[in-house]
Amino acid sequence: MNYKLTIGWLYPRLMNTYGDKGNIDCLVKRCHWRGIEASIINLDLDEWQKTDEINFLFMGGAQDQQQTIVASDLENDQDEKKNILIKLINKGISGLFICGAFQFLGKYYQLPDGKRIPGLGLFDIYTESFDNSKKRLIGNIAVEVNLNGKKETVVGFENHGGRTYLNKEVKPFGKVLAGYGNNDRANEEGAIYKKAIGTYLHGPILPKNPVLADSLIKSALEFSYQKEIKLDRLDDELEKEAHNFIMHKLRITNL
Amino acid sequence: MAKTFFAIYLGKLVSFLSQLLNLGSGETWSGEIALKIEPRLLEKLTPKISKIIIVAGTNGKTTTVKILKNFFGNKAFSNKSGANLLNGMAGSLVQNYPFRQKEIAVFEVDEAVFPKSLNYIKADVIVLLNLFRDQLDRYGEVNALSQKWQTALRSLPKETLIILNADDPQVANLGNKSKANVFYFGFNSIEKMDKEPEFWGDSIYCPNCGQKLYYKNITFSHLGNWYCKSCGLTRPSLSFDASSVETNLEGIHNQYNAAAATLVAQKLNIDQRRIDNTLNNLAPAYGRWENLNRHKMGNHLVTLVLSKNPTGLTQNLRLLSEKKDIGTLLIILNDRIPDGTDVSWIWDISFKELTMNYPIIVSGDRYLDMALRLKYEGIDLKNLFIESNLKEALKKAFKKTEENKRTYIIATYSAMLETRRLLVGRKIL
Repeated sequence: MNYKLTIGWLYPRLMNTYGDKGNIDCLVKRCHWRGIEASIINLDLDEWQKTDEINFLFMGGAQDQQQTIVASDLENDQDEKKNILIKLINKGISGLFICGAFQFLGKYYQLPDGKRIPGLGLFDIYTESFDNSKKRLIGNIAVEVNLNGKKETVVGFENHGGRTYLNKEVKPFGKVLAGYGNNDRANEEGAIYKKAIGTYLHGPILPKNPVLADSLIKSALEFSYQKEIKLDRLDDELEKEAHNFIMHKLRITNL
Repeated sequence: MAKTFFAIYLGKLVSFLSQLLNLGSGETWSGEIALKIEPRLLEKLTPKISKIIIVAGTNGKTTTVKILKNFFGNKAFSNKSGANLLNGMAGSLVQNYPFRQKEIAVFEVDEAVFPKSLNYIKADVIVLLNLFRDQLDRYGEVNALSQKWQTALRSLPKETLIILNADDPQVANLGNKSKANVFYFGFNSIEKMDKEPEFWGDSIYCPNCGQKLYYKNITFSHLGNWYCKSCGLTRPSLSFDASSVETNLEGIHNQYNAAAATLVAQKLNIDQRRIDNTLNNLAPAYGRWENLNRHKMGNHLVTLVLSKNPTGLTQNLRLLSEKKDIGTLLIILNDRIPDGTDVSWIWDISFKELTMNYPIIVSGDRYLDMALRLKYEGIDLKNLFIESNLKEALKKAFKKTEENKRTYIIATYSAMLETRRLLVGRKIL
């Protein structure tokens, strides 16, 4: 059977500050290497087409100004675009939302001056940002997550001024092994809602975390084809070496 | 007064010792110590200089400063490239005191430090080259930086000469609200034209109203003849057309640098013949397409290509794709403070310009990330070699390069310095 990954890439030109495009490269290549077709549909400022073909949503991070533009576009036409996303995520579409995009999934993003930019409201979380009064949370980070029933480590690089707080019922993406995470208090990172993952991890996150990348591809295909999918194994020696290099850099030895 | 002299001469001593012990030029250290003794050193010494020129921007500072120094000859001094924080400027003042015929100071200033530097230095000329995504971990965000620049420029006296890159929307916009003498350089026409701004260009939105910008033509990244359909903002008219510049330095980016320097020189009444002659006889700044043939590791032909951020690397890859003598390509990616600790920027560029008909070796602190990047670009892994040790990587590269071919080395900043040290014996700073 010819499987196809159809990525809905949200605001590629606006939300692309930190090399997050590499996640798309990673997913597309990992599909090609398995003979799985991969295509990208840009969901940008103009009208959105073919959203019913999408089985994976991706949105990268950006600076404040760009986030404001995206927020207002999502609310255009009586929240038409916003509603499309909410519907897809509630249906269980696989998705990866990085940094500013992760913040978007929440209830609101509060600017330093107190003004609140409303989010999609899917995650019961909120984010507060500060100007120079608080330091930015920057550095390599390792997180312990649960993927397909197994404990895995995920490595990346975080760079955010915003502090995100999860309300009680919300599941974090993982537990911070080294680094900051969502804020400077709790040691959780990101958040998960159905099959949508929000995280602060740049890197980009997927190339050095092939297990996560494949888990997302698997979920995406299962969303479309409604049956369990087993992906062919790939030679991930290099990916694992790069992953372990960061773990080592963060001095994480025993787990 | 005594304090100032003490600061200067102690600084000179530090620098002398540093050079004696082969620790580098010591400019940063001597400046640091001098400032500790006399915190107002910059304010006290700079008034003794007739003309002060400041050059800031993400890419091109070193080359532009070098061109300017060549225009002015013995009359000018500058801080050492890379020593572009306040201590580096202080260091160069200390070194060159008591100035005498050196009546012109050309300072290369780090983008983040530039606004602050204006509090201590009364600049006669300010050159702002560009603003690109670079070292996000250090500089935060490009928008934030340009805001700081705008605030800094607002309070300048009207005699100040401000030279701006009109082709960079965020930089061009800085001239809007300034009461000083603003002049613009840019390209009116170019042969090769891109159609759309490169994917990761930062300033593709109108600095005035935030809407997407359109371009009549693009030189590279987000630079070009831009205009906004929403609010009507357009590129300011050019005081100087960079396409008229002739220089022996390669690449459009260097034409911008040469244009900026030429505009300054013309405003300061330098003879046009001297300008033309200088521009056609420039040696590249260290690490910037610098040829190191006959070096400490042999007689191999080597070209060092410093690449610090997506824009720079993309331009370099373009130039590289035109070379017919590539024997081996060695890519060295470090993640130390001067390189930027976040290496995700390598994913913001396309490596498709590399034909990959030659072996590629990756090295540096983050050699694995670079290898991974190339793997996902689709490079044939049989052609990719991984060597974390820099000296071994160089040996490997030389071994794989045929006799009449050249080893090209793409390196981030600290990697470039380290490579230079291995091949030439000195780091520079």
